[in-house]
Amino acid sequence: MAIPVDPTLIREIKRHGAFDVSACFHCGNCSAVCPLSDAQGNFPRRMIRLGQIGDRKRLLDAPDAWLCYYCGECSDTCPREAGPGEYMAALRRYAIAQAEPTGLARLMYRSTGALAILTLLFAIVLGAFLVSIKAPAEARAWLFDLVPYETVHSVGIGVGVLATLAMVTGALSVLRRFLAGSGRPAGAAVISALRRTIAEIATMKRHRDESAAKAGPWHANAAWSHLAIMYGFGGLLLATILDFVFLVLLPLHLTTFWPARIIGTLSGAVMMVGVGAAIRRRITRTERSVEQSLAADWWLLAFLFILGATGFWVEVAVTLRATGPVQDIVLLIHAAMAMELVLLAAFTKLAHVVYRPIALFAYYLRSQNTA
Amino acid sequence: MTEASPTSAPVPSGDPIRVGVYVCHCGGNISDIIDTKAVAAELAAHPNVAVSNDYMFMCSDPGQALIIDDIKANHINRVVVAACSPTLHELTFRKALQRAGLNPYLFEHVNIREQASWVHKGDHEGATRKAVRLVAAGVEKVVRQDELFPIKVGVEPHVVVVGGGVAGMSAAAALAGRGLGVTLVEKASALGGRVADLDRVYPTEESGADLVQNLTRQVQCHPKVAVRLGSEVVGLDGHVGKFTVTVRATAAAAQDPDHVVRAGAVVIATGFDHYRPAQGEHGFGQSPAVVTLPDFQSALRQCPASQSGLAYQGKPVRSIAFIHCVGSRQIDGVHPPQPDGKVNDYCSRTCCAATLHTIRQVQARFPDVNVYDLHKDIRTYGRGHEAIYEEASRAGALFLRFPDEEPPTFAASKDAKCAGVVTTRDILTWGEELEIPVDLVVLATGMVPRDIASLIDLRKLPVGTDRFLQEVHPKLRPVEMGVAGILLAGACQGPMDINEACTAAQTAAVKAAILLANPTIELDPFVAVVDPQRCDGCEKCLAECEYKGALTMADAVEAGATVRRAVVNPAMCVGCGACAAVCPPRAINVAGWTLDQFDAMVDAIVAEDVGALAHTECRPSARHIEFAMAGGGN
Repeated sequence: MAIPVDPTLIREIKRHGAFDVSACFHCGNCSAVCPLSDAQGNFPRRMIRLGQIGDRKRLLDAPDAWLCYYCGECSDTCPREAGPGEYMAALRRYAIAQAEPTGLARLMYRSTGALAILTLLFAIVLGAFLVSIKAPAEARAWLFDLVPYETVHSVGIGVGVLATLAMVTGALSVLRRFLAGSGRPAGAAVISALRRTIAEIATMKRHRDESAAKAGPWHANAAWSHLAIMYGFGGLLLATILDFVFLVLLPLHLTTFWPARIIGTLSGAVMMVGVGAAIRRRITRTERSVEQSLAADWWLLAFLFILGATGFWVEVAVTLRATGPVQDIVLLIHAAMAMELVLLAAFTKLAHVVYRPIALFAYYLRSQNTA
Repeated sequence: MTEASPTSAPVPSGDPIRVGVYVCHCGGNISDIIDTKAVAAELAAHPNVAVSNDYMFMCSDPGQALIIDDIKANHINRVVVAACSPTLHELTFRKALQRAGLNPYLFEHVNIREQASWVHKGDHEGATRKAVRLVAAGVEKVVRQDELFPIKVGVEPHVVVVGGGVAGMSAAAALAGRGLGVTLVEKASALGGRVADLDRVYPTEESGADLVQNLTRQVQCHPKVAVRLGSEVVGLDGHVGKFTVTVRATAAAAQDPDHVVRAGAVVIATGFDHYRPAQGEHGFGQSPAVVTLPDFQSALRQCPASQSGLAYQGKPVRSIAFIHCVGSRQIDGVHPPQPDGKVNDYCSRTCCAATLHTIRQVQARFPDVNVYDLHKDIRTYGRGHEAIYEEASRAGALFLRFPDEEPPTFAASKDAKCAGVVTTRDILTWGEELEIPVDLVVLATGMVPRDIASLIDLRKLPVGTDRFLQEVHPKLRPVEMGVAGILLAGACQGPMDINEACTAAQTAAVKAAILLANPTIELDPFVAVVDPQRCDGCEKCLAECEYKGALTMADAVEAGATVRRAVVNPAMCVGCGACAAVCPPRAINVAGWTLDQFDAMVDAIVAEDVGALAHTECRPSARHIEFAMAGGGN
């Protein structure tokens, strides 16, 4: 069956950050140096070609883009400076934009102005919503005067449930896409692939190996700052859940020094170190993968940074029992942005939390099937 | 008139033949394998050899001094040097002979390096035996050698340039600039040729019309250049230094006289034709949406700058497929043969850059048009061409590579979305078949030789298997033809772009200027010589001679009776030896390479003992062939 060529696809992908990819003349140098290139040696050139000829289905059904950690070897080696690494990053953005039906993600990737306005708009709506709910008078205590504690919690639960539902359905659809046409896998194979996926995510071993090839201090290493952010973020999530369990389900009034809070404080610190290192890398542009930062890349880092900073502010305020309008507003910002980040997860770079593990799983499963 | 001059003369009779043999070590290149002392010693036994030595470097000044001293002091009158290839140092030693007062042709250069030491490294003994036999053959040849003298030909300081395109005009301007008279003959009614049709030319972005105008002004304003428009060459007689070129106006009435030009050299710059695709080739001739690159270029030129969208013949064009190698790099069994039964298997070289340059023009003016480029390879070989390829790619042209044996096909489409669909197998997509919706297909047609059969027939000009005119050697003599004094400029020789055609033209101009720089030209004396006493007028040689005017039959009076005898025009003979090979009474020979010499060389090679070879006396006077050269022209 002949494949119809569609010239519009590559134009769309280019707008997501692959500005130079048309210069590719398929020499295959990228495939020769790519640590992911297999025996067929088509990684990442296959993805570029499928984009160029406009084969939307095969492009989006492939987990390839999500296996790439953007070590930048391909882009450094490309004789035409077509940016294969940047293309893979653009492909990830394009995949996120294609997976959600509202078109919001597409808008935010392609226009920095739209990204700023939408973010602000969401924050205001959420903030206003939080402020509008007034708690009973006896519950109004020092810090939680403007936004009551219970409100944060109940809205937070709602946001959490919504996000979890979206993530699960999204994950299932992505998994179906990546495994399309590969037949029913054996149970042992599934378990083995699952084990390998978890090991890779927990240790980021391949990512660290790829980054280790580049000299420099630990904070200039993409894998380590990513690990810090990942564990910090995960720890904060765990702390929030524990806090919720202790406070709401088992109404034990735990102070700052109880386990949930300690986990939260430590995780927050780890995340901030990771975010700080990542921001530094993007400012100093020490390596290929941070040479080109889109507004969408800054967006996530800025969110995490503000969340961390406001979080610590609130923590200190709670410990010192400080009150006043400044504390109120900081808390409001913290709560609104945390919810916004979770709500917009599917529309932003944060969606990789779903894509990457599933892509790894699909890749490991398929490599077992063919082995 | 050309002066009469003998090409060969007798060696003064009475002097015994004394040969000097010099075996060179070549600094070990020869002597590490071959026992050079043994070779010299064995050759000393030859009855004609008076001196036989070996030396470290014969080509060095002291090496040459050995020869000169022996000629002067030891009355050596023949020299054999056994050394490297004659292409390297034959001339060196001939000049040494000349400095010593000996005729430089009484010399034989034997190659015992490339033909013995270098090729028999594992067999010292065998290499030495072989060297002895080769040198012995050289001695046997040189003892039968006559004194030879270069052929001197008078020169007409004028050049006829055939073809008034950029190559012809470049050549004409360069020749006139060197003080030579030029007659520029152009078939069309205006100068300029193919380049005049081009809007912009790569890689300089100049307009073709400007280029042509510039060159036209140079040739038309030059007092030394006579331009003859609407004319063609119908006669080309004579030889280097003195051609007679007949120019006829194409629209001439029967009573109009031809224009005759006398010229020392002729530059052919007749250019090329665009390949015309066969009916149905990629849909050509079946759909109005399939056009050739020159047609598309002229449509693009006529498309007004104000126009917002691209249109071809009134129909909007949103996507174009350019197909490379149409009429070039054809494969037997895949492409239909040309009228001569062969396919155009050569690469037209210019169409890659021309196509990409056209794509750049489309992209610059109509950025919304989707451009597809279907190629076998992209051959952007010239300076600056690769940049055009990269720009076209960067601007979004999609490049697809089709297999040699599966050219893309075009089918008209019924729906209004596009004019048709190009189907191709794409190597860059792992051999998958792709369908491209297009509004226009542009065929990058190559270059084919122009039909200049009448000009070729005038002098049996050499034509290559690609039907373009052929040079003597693509690297060593790139603009000279086998016929001395006829030079090539531009695409009549093979596909070239403007840059290359002008380079070739100026090279041809310099070559012609060197030829015609002096009042006479000296030609090598190795041409056919007839012994009228042996010639019986059978005319077998005439049938074999490929070079018109080199060999003719003339009446001679012999013992009161008029007989027919072969006569050689040494200026036109190239010394190929075809005549000598067929002459039953051995009356015709190539000077310096006579059949007697060959016989003696073969005998020497098969002889076991050099010392047993016979002594050769001074050549009998009856063998001394005097001949006077025929006058210039025919």
